[in-house]
Amino acid sequence: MAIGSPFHERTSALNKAQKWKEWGGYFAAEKYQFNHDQEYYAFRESAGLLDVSPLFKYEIRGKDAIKLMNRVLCRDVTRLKDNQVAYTCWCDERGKVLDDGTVARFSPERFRLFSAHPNYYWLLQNAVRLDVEIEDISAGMGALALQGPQARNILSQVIDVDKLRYFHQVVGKVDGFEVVVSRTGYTGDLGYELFVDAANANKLFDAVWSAGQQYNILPAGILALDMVRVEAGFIMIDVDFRSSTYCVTDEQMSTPFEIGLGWTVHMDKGPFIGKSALDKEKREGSGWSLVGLDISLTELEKLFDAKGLPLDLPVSTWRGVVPLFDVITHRQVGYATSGVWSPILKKYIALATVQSRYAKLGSTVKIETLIDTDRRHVSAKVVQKPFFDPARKKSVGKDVALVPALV
Amino acid sequence: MDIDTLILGSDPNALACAASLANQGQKVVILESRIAPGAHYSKEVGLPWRTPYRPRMRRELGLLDEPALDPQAFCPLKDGTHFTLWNDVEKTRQEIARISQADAQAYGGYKAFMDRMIAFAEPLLDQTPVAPDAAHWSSFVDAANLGLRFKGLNKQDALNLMRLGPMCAQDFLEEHFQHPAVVGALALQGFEGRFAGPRSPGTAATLLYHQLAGPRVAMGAVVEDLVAAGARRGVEIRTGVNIDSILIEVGRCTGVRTKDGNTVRATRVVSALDPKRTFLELVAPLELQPDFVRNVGNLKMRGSTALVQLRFSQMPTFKCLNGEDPMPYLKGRIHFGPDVDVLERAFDCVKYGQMSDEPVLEGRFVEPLLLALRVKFVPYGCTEDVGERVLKTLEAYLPDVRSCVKEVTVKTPSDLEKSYGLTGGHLHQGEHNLHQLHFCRPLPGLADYSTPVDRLFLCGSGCHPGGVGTGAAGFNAAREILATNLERAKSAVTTPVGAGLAVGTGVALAGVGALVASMIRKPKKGKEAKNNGHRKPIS
Amino acid sequence: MVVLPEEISDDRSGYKVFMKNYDAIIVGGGHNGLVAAGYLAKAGLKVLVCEKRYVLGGCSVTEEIYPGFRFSVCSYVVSLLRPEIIRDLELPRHGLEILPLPSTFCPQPDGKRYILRTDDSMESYRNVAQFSRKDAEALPRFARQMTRICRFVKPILSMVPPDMDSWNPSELLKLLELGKGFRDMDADLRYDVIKLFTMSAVDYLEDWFESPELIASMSVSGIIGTFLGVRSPGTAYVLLHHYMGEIDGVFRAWGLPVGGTGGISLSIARAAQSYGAEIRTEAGIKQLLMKGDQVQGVVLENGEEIRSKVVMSSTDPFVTFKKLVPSGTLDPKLMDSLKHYKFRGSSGKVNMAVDRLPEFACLPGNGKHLKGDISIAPSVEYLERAYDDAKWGNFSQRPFINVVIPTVSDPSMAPPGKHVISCFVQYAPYKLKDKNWDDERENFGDAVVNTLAEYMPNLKESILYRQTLTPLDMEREMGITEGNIFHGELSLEQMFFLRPIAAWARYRTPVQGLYQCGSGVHPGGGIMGAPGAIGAREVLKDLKSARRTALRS
Repeated sequence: MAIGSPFHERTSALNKAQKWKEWGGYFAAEKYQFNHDQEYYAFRESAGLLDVSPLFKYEIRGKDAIKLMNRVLCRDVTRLKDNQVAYTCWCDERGKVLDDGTVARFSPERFRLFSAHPNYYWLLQNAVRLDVEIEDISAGMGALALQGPQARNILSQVIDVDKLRYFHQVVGKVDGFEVVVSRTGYTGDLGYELFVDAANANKLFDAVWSAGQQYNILPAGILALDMVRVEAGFIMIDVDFRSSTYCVTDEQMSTPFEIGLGWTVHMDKGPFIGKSALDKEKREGSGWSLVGLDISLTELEKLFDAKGLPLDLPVSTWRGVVPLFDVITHRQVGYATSGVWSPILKKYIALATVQSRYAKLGSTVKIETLIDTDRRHVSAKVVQKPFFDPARKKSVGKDVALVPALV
Repeated sequence: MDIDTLILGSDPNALACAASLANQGQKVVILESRIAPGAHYSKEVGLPWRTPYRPRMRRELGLLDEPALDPQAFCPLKDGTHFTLWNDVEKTRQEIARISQADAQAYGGYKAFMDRMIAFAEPLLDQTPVAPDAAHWSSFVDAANLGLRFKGLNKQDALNLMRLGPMCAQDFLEEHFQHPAVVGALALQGFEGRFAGPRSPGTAATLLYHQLAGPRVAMGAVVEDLVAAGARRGVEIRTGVNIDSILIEVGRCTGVRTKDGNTVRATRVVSALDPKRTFLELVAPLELQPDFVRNVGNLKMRGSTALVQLRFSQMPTFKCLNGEDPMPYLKGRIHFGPDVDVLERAFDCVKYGQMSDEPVLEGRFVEPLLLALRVKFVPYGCTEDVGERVLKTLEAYLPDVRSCVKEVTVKTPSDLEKSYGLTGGHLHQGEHNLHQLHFCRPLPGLADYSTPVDRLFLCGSGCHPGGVGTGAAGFNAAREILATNLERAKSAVTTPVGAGLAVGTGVALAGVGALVASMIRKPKKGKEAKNNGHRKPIS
Repeated sequence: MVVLPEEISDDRSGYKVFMKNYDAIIVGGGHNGLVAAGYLAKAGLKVLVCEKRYVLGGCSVTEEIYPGFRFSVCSYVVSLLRPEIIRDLELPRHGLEILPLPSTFCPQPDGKRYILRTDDSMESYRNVAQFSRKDAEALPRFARQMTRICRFVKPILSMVPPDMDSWNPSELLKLLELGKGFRDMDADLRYDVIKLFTMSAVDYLEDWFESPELIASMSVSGIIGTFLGVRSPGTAYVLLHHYMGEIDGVFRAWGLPVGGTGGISLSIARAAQSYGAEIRTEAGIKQLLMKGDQVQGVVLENGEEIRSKVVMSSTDPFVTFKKLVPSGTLDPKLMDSLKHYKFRGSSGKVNMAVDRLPEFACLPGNGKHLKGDISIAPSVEYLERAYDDAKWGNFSQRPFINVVIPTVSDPSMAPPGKHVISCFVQYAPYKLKDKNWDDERENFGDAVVNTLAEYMPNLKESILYRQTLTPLDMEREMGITEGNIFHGELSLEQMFFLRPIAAWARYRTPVQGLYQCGSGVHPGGGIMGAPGAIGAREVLKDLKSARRTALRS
């Protein structure tokens, strides 16, 4: 059975809906209210508080810590400054993605790696004869994500984050215990992630919770998160791509280039796992690409209308495999893996894997859509990701909360 | 003059590889950490015998011809009787008849069967193993050749050969013999270089494997012989050089760094050290892929043989000979008290990390008063007094052994690891387990003596065909190294013929007609299979 | 007392079958014999099954040994039963129900720790991480590799082994297909296949895992039914053999048949009857009726003669060739080869009726762990010493025990609140040194109970009845030679085209019209049904070509 995270006492008290999912062996709130839309709006208008403790967390210490990180991760961690954080993926020797996550550099001899799947085995396997110590700190550590335009205003009452820049972290104290705050998140908005010893988890939660009251802070669940992460164009492991560790065939695996993470691969650094395969793919091009789709509402409306029905839109993210077709030949050319109606953009958006020649911005494919009981094809245009990218995500000024999102 | 090839280690494989490369005009340098070449084959170690040279290698390098040990095994028994396995079948039958009439009857048939099996399998020793997925045309020829030779075996032999592979030595031998001493004496080779007992499946194959190269010969002056062969061709041996690491620059091996900080550069490096030592200690970990490192780490190299030398002040008395002159019996191997159950019990102990009270002793008088013994089974990290247990066991056969012995030298697997860099104290650089033989020795893809690192090669007994002091692996490696040299830049010829056909796959069996048929059918089917994305079920 | 379904008793009482001619007679009413009968009857043949015992099922049998308690006397769980047989014979319609086992549980002797792997992957991860975090992560990797390997090996389970001796193009092509399959595999997979076929279970598992407790608990699948230790090469294959099963499309899943394993046999029997097969119990066969090289029918133990041109034997090769076929019929050289075929029964069974739910010291109370498969296998050394005991002619003083408590999932097997504990025990060698099983039977049972009691403190006082089966009992009762549950060791030299011996490996025998369909032919033992199904297919093939020849001439 799943178990409670370090914040479970607090989150279960707040969870009016009693809707739970299993995430990494823990109970994770699906939603706190009957409807999750308030939680979604909290992320976009005030601040949502999300328990992300089920993430796997590893601490890598030792003289060769930097060597190990640079060997395993696709990104060049030597380019990171101390207390800088980076998003990255990592691959097996054939260049197939194993997992993605963030890496935080405390010093050249101390890193933390956060991931969706367990990675201890892989780190250990690659640490042969390296002077490093790998510790799985997952169970002993609670993690909270505070995300939304008011996140800074709330958090600065608890800890000094005014000068904290995007993808950087600060090690601070709250009530005498240590908290690591990084300006990162899975919402594509202004936001922070807070890491704390499990013993102090409740205290941190209470501090953030009470500071947030005047800013309408709301606890948020997975459903709301899943909406904002699609808006932000963030892919999710096991949904939009699969880890090669658990794939049975090659076809099920992906390379970083195929899932739009080519930018995290630093080919110019020294040898790392998968380099030669990735090098080859970079030269020869990838067969598949991960794109953002904007699904035609006009067509959708017409189809619903023809059935005598009003337009019905997915108000929470669907996950699965929805086939995409060539406009003329009707051959399958790819598949969409998650999609949602974005209330803030007023668009029906989706993330999809398509054959590379369909990946150009502006090209059109057909997506299979259920119109009540009928399967129909609807046009979808390949558009720029992220769908939603507010300036406040990265800005450092005091009044970021006031900057409108969509300018 | 620039060094063409740098060879790490100086055991017979290293020396054979060096001489053979130098024979083709290469400038070869051998680096050895000890003060003299030979590694664990040098005299002080006390390996009492070895596999003979492969004939081709002996011819090409002009090596000495050494006669087979005769008797193959003189076996004094606990009950005071004895029998001897001579090279001559008839003579051996008479010997066995003394303890078992039925077994004597069976011996001729057994020997004839083994000889036919040897004739079938022996050519494999000289060939570079053919991997099942090999695409090169020459590997097809080898595979088809093997397949045809298999089809050429008589029906019963072919079936018995297939049955033999997975069987245990005891079951296999008991199909022929009944007397535990006869079974014990013949079973012994089944676990040379294995962590297994006579009842462990797979030992029948090892039994055959160890007879392929023919009866054993005296260890003799193998090192001197090979050193001289090298010297005649200009091979240089640098002793006292400790290697720190193998230098790799941009994925290519360029030489080695020594422990005293010097660098020796060469066009290529050939390691005669065991695969674990080469890849896990000398090559920088970041140069190798994680799964490769994992596979190397998983290689089974559990040494379980100790080497003991007993120097006598006078010749001890063999109880079983009742005053008969021992000399004719002592020219070859002596196996003290063979008994298949004793073997198994000794193995039982080593499974739990202990040494049996009654170890298995086989040895040879390498000098008139010097008995070199191979002691089975002694665990790695053994804490028991090996010398004492050996003497105690010997007393049953040589009652006056304690009064005659002057000096006892013991080398346990741990000692062998420490002094000669043999990982796990394993004399063969890797167990002769079925999954570590032929194209899987040391690992699939490495059986052609190449490694994942460009211009780094292996040539030790960790490679095909393994074995003891034959130099065959080194000689074969030299051939492959020269071939790589010729073909560098030329990619392997992957013709449809080659691709369709290497199917001849080891176990082989395919007739030419069917092969041709498959050739015609194959390309089309391959395509189909890919299109529906699933393989056609085999039926 | 008797668990015969009505339909079968009807047939028996009528004795309508007397002196009738049949198209095929099946010797033995075990699951394989019944499967063969089902397929032949479905193809329209007039089929008779003769079972020696009063009850059907052979070793897949449920009997009420103690009033109110029904035991799966021999085999106790199922996984390998081929899905195509379930479909072809419509077994669910005839009463087949299988409940998946949700966990494997391995208590540790310290009374505190345990390895519990369940259908909840993260729960298993956490439990195994108590022993080794690395191993917890290696488990799904291992499972993935097994899945990939099974994909290669599984088709072999439903094929007729190729004739190695033939130059016939179709046989050669079969070999080539196999070779091609092997060749087309990913290199890493191929290496693992080679390892699995040649290594010991422990050696192979050590390539993946580091925790000795986990390795021990997983290695036991490699020794079930064999006379080998977890460190004996060849056991890795048996491990794979046990991984090849599937339930409802889920690989590696094991299940508990409702009504015991006899429930499976009865469902097959009902299916066969629905296609018109006749089934007789207490109809042991004395010998085959022969005319020259051709079989003519069978003689029952009561002297009755029944004629048929086709006889399929689901008994083991020793019984088939030494007892059923009149002596002197077969080539003595081949009989010699059969002498080398190894049976070497190594397992016993202890079934207990208890008055309360057993409780484990390390994990008290009811829970998922009681519903699953429970192994007493605390360490590799423990298992290896158990093997050493047997190797030298004794039963293991501290044996490996595989416990299943079917009543936790299927309450129909015992009165309310009471339970049945089924213990599969290794090692119990058929041949004891200087002792005999009739004297040692209860000592063996005591050794099992004493061992279990170390883990389940409340066991001893809860036992109402204990049934102890030694290999000798299984030979006497079930007719399996030396009590080998697989009709012969599953070692590589007697598998595939070498099972039982090369000349007779393809279901046919040197006797015209006599076929084999028991676990002693490819693909071997376990409640798989494949030998029966493939054997029947071969019979039909031969009949068809005979008919064609007859028509032509």
